Amino acid sequence: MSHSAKILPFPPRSLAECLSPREWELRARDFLAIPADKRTDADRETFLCSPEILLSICALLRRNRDLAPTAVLSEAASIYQWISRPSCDLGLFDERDYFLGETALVAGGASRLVGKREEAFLWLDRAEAGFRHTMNPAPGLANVAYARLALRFEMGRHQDVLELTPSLEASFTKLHMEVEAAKCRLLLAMTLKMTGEHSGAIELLDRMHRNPALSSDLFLRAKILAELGDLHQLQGQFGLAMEAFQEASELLQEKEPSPARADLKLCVGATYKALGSLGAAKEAYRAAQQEYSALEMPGPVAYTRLLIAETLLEMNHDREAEWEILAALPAIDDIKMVPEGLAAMGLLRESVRRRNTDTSALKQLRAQLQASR
Amino acid sequence: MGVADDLGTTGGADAFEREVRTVFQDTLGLIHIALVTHYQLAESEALELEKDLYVWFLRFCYRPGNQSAREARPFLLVACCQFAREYQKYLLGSGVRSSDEKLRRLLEREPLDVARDFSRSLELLSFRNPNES
Repeated sequence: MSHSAKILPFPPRSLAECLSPREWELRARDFLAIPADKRTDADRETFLCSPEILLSICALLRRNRDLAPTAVLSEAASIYQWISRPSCDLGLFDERDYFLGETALVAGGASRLVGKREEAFLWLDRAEAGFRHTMNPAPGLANVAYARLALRFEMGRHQDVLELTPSLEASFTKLHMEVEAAKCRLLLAMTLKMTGEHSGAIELLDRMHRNPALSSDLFLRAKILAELGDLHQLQGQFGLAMEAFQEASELLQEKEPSPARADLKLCVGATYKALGSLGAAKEAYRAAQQEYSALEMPGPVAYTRLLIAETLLEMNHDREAEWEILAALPAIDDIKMVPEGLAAMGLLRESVRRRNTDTSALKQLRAQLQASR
Repeated sequence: MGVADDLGTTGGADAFEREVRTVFQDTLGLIHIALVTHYQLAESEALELEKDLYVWFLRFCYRPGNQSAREARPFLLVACCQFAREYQKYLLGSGVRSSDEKLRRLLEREPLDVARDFSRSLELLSFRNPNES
């Protein structure tokens, strides 16, 4: 019986198995540094057929997803396509399925951030298909479920989010995935804010940013503080709001543009507006819009333009407001809107054409877009 | 065993990798029994498979959502049973090896169930789907 091992040769060990995790990451960076149009199949064979390097590539893509969603979407999609070729023989046991799940999950999250919702749902279906065949599907499937809830939130399906998020948070807690459980609580708080349950949302977020499990995730802590500040300003507690914004701002100092920092500027703008400082509000909104533009996030850019337009109208700068609305409409066209949003957009477009902006249509459209930011 | 000797050459001797190695070595006795006694692999085949299992287990522990190598040990046993089953099925299917009744019955069972039986001896219960616990 012993001679039969010669019949089915075991796969040869890859070079990367002899490297340290730090060296895996360096190789991953080498791969991502090759311009996409210059990459050869030999490059892909060298880097992508090594599970160690691929693990590091996935980690880098996850880390950069919120900071450069367009680039990450393109990378994740092209790696997924490479792995999904029938001839691709990758890793051991369940590793090919795992990497299909992981790259599709990253692509799904990035698609959501750049406003491609239908594409995002398809990527998440692909991610689920990959994770389902892995040895330990629970963490991957829970992450897919979270990504789907985030999409539902953006589409304004708040009751769905309120119903499903507590169960998902319990799953993450059971899996000891503290950061992901905290993201669920944040999503729940953001949904409560949208449904007007501000006190409940504040209760959820208060002290959450001091959770030791989040100490290394500055962006998440800053996002929690920004939301907390926004809730305080909605309750008229401007001192507490500014305190939270200040703390969030300190966390993000000297950081590159990020959705967390853009959201923070948006919240600061809302507070200035509530205080009647329209000029300062406009400046804060403009700064947020520039950050979203740098991140190539068309939905939030359009939303922020509408906020600026509302502020400009209040400042009696009607022509400038029209320009902002006209600049926002093409991106809004690309977002799948519910019928109420479409009607408001039609009214707004027509009113701007007549140079007599319909402020209630503007408010309604902006409210429809609010969750998308 | 062979795997333990080879582990020293894999480099990256950080604390995490040491923990993974320790857990793997702690489980290796059970793995070897599963491969040789239950799935009826030859010693040389089992040694080769154990090397692959270690390489896979190390990478598996780096996946997001895996808390510690010790908690991931049940999945190692599932992987062990799954790969042994596929390997034996391949050999039986190609006519290289013949099966007895005991092996045939074992190959009909899902690797997850077989691994769960092995896990019981280590008091490693309720894995794969946390909702099952």
